[in-house]
Amino acid sequence: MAGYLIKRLATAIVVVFGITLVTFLMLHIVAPSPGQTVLGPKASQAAIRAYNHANGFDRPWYEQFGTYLNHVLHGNFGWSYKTNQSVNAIFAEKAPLSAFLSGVSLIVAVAIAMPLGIYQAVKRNSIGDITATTLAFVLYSMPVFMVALLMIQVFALSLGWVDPNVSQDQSLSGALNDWKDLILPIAALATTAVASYSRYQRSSSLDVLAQDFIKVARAKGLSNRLVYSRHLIRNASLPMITLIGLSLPALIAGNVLIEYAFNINGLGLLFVNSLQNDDYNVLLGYTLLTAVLTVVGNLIADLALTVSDPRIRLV
Amino acid sequence: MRSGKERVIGGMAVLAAGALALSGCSSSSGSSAAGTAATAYSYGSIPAASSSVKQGGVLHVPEYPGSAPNWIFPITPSANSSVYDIDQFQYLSWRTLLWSPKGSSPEWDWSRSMTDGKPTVSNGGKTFTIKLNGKYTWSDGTKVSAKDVLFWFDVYKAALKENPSNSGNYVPGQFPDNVTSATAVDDQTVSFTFDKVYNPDWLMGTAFALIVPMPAHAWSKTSANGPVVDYTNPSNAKAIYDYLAAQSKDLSTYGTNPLWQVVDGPYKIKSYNTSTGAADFAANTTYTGEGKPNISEVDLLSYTSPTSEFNDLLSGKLDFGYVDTEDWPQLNRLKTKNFNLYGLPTFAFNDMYFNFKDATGGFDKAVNQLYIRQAFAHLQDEDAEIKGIFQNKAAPAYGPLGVVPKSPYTPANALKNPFPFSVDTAKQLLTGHGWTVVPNGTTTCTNPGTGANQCGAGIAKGQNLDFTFYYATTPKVIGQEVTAFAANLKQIGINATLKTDTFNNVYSQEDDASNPKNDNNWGMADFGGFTQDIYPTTDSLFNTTGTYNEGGFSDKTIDALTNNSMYSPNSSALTAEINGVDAALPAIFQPNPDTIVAWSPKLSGSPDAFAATTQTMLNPEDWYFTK
Amino acid sequence: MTTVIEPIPAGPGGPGSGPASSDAGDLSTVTTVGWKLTLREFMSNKLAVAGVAILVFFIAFCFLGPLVYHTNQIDTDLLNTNQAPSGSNPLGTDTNGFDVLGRLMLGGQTSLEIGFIAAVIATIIGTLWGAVAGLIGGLIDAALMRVVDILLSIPFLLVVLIVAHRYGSNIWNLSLILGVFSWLVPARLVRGEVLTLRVRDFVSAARTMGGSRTHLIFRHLIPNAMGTVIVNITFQIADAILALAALGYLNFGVHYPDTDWGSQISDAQDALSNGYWWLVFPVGAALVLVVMAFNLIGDGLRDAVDVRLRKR
Repeated sequence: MAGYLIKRLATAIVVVFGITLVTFLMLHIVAPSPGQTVLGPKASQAAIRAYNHANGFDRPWYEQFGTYLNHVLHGNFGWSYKTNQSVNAIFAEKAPLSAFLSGVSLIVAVAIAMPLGIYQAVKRNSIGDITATTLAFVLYSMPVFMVALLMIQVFALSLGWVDPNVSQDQSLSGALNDWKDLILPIAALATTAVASYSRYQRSSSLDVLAQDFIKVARAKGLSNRLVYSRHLIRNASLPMITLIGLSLPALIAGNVLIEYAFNINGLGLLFVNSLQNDDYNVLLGYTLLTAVLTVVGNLIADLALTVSDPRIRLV
Repeated sequence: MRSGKERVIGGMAVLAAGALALSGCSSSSGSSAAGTAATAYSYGSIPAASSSVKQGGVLHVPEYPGSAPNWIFPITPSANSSVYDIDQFQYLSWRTLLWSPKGSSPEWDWSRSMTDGKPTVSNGGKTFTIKLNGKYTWSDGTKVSAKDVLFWFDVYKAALKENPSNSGNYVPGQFPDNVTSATAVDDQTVSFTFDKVYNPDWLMGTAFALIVPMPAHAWSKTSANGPVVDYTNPSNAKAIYDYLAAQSKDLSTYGTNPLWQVVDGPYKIKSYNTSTGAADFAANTTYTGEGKPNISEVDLLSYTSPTSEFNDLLSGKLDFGYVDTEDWPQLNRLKTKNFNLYGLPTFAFNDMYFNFKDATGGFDKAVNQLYIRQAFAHLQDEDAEIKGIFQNKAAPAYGPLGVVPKSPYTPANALKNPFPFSVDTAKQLLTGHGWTVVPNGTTTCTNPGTGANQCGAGIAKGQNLDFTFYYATTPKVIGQEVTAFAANLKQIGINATLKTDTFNNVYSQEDDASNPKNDNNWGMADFGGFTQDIYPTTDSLFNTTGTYNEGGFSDKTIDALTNNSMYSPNSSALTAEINGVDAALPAIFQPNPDTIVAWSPKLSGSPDAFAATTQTMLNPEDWYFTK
Repeated sequence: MTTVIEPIPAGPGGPGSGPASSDAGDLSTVTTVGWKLTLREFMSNKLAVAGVAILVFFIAFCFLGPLVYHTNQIDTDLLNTNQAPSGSNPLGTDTNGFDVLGRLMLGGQTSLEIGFIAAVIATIIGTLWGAVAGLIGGLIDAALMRVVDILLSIPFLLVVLIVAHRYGSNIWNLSLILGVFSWLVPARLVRGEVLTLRVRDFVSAARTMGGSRTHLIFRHLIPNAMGTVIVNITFQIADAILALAALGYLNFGVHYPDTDWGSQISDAQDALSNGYWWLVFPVGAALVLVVMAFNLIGDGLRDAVDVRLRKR
């Protein structure tokens, strides 16, 4: 176990380093000299040169990368020219709201998808199963922003139950004061997640149901209820653990679209705006952050699996 | 007064709104004695100031969506330079030496300035003497003096010496490099001597307009508790700049830093939200300048998009706001709430510019021909764009100075379209010069050569006019305009491959000066345009040596005209330059959309102050709530 | 190194395969079966058949529709923008005055083409990568799969946005970008298949008989992994169309004279607030239906190819 952990951690470090390098190079190739974009169209060439020099953009890319890496290792993600703040500070300000959105929608999604998937497997091919399957296919095929748009049209514009935009107070507590406005974005994120989670849950439950130990348990005369609660739920939920770990990046990417659609001033919208403004340190930091989350999500999912299922041996 | 040449208009056109006078009949607010009558190409009208003034109250106004201010120190680095930050945030606290515009008109407003008229010129045109009128005092009681002007000047010089990108307005070789001496004649008089004779209007517009006197007695320090040091010593000036700039980077202290409480403007900052950029300002009770801060607090709210700002305007959270083009179809919803609506184009221009260095398929040779640029100009249907895209809320522009707002320098010719929309005229221009026009196909040169009826120098037989057109994704009206233009080009067999990019990337990548390696990748580009200075020379754009020489345009006549605008004392030089640019077509100029503003029926004040909001200004000291 | 459960492709917006592919990476066997058996299995799946019907309808609508329903999609008509549906424009006109129904057909062509090309590119790269990694094994496998890990950890949409914002905007570029950044899932799937297949008798036999590696890959492994690959292609198309829609929504889609379904809803919020529903919902419905059709087909195909299910 310890050996495995060390090995996984080592891999994770390699992966995170690789991600940093890839993102850095990508941005470097797309825009090697940010001076002009940052300073505006009418900046003189002298000003652009001076700016690039002062910020080290005139050095070879590997030197810039080395400096960046060094800063990141010291917990410094650089300065965002557009907001005149350090990237660390903006992230700290905006992360709680985004995390809240993702977290709540994840919990909601799991709470709905797990029972739904198990129900569908147990009642395979029943009307309920077919309805849920069809619905899942429709929702799964919808881009998350389409779900958002539909909700805006129905609940905000036609029925007028909520505002089409989330409160512009970007702090989490401020946004929570207008909690009604957060219902739509959370619902939109959760809906699309339910569509895919329930399918996985159904599929893995079907697999478990077909396995020998369930048959044995039934042969032993255990009631269906006991079989389901003792054996099915536990075994069929294993893939969900992995799935949740792995859906982190999708959730984050979904946040980009949802925050854009609802004008939520979180990290996702910050990313889109930084893309428009070529605020490279923010782009780098954001990509790095999400990538690390992904790696960590994978790792936790794997570890959680070993804990919850002793049969799984990690070699 | 927007001091300088900042970017914008990418954003400008977005927030812009407005309407043709034709659509005329003003908004709500049955203004009996209308303060500002609807002028040509304005939208709505401004009611006369109400006489029932209520003291106090909190005014809620939006910051420009997505462009929250984050630089408080009046010497603004290029990277932070935006008209919104300067005009609607810094100017609340620190006033400029010379103020413009006057209402919505791009002229000097002497009533708001710290001097009563133009500087006195002596020394054969090299020395300019400015006498302060003593109208302004610092909030701690000290009178604004010549020393404060020189303090700004020395710190400004030190900032630029440290790094030329420390001010968005700096052009190397121009102000302050061209000043040989700056002295205080007496406590209320300063004089600047220049290295040679310049056009006085140009100096006013590009040099003196930048001056924002700063409180030397409070700011001439290099640390919070340090002593006041002698700023005339260059090394001190540099240390002072470094200290003040560092304070300006510390957003979390904006509300508490005693430095920012010494102001000569009507409001001073009370709190600043680092996460959103929202800021609250309290009235400066000791304000002595023009206007009176009746409203006791001004809250600047921050928004992520124009739509979210519009929603707050509708819901009543804002007392004043901007209506973006995207929301124009919903203007009636504001009218039913009795909001006042007014719109006028901002003093700015939008253009689609050519790349005169795009050698791909010989496009550079083609657009070098004036007749081809004229054909292109004839293919832009400004009237249809104004009607279809801007719903009659825009004014036409046939050059860098549009039809409105009218500047004292606007030539009479600029008011009518020299190249009215006509596919036939465009076609004839091409066929008359040796091109075989294939509508919806590919037009090619079939009669190369330099004769009068031939294609022109460098254009090969069989060459076509196809090219790549980059435009900015925001504001969306740019996409509509470019698409309409490309569709018109197609009608005479010119195929534009459209590509989009961000506003920033279009101006920086589609720029021959800073990205010469991109020269052959684009034929035309459109990122919006530029706001204009009060002295609207096109020096930086169409002069061969301009800092943002659009598309590598180079024309000896235009160069000479532009240089005249700067270096000849002739007061009609600028009008001649604009006339020249209009005819030379270095770019295709586009309609200028209105900036539509809306305000609550409870809010009243000087009509000029409301008119000025279409020019990105914010003067709440001229407003008040009604009883 | 044994990873117990191969990561499963993530949900919508991410580089995923279909919703029910929980068995995507587990090292189950796929045997080549007679195509007739597969076809019969497939045809018995009503949802899958419905998917085919929807797809056929939309292909006909987009590619043959313009032959019947003629509209001018070249010249903008600024004096007739944002018109509500009427006799002459059954679905109204858009912000440039184009007929929306005709625009829908044109945009559908682009979306389907890009989806298809991107999926093929992704599958080719992914199949080769996965096959090489699985077959050679050892350090090279580890290195190749770490590259996949790295790329898989950078949120797909973010990468594509960064790259597309400079290099996107026509059909080929966008296909290439979407394809080049979505080969990771097929690479993992194929590697899993190959790992299983390489220990099977016929591959060992081929190897004993002295077959070269290239020969092994192209003659035995890839054909045998085809089942998985084909199933994955359908999901890849669906995902590419969705990703393209997201790009278009954020304003990085294709441009005049082309259009795609995503670009057509880029103004959606404003269109909705301004009451121009016809600019949002027809194209939204078309998008959802086509993506769903691909997902249904993929699901049906997988079931048909999957041996275990047939055993039940």
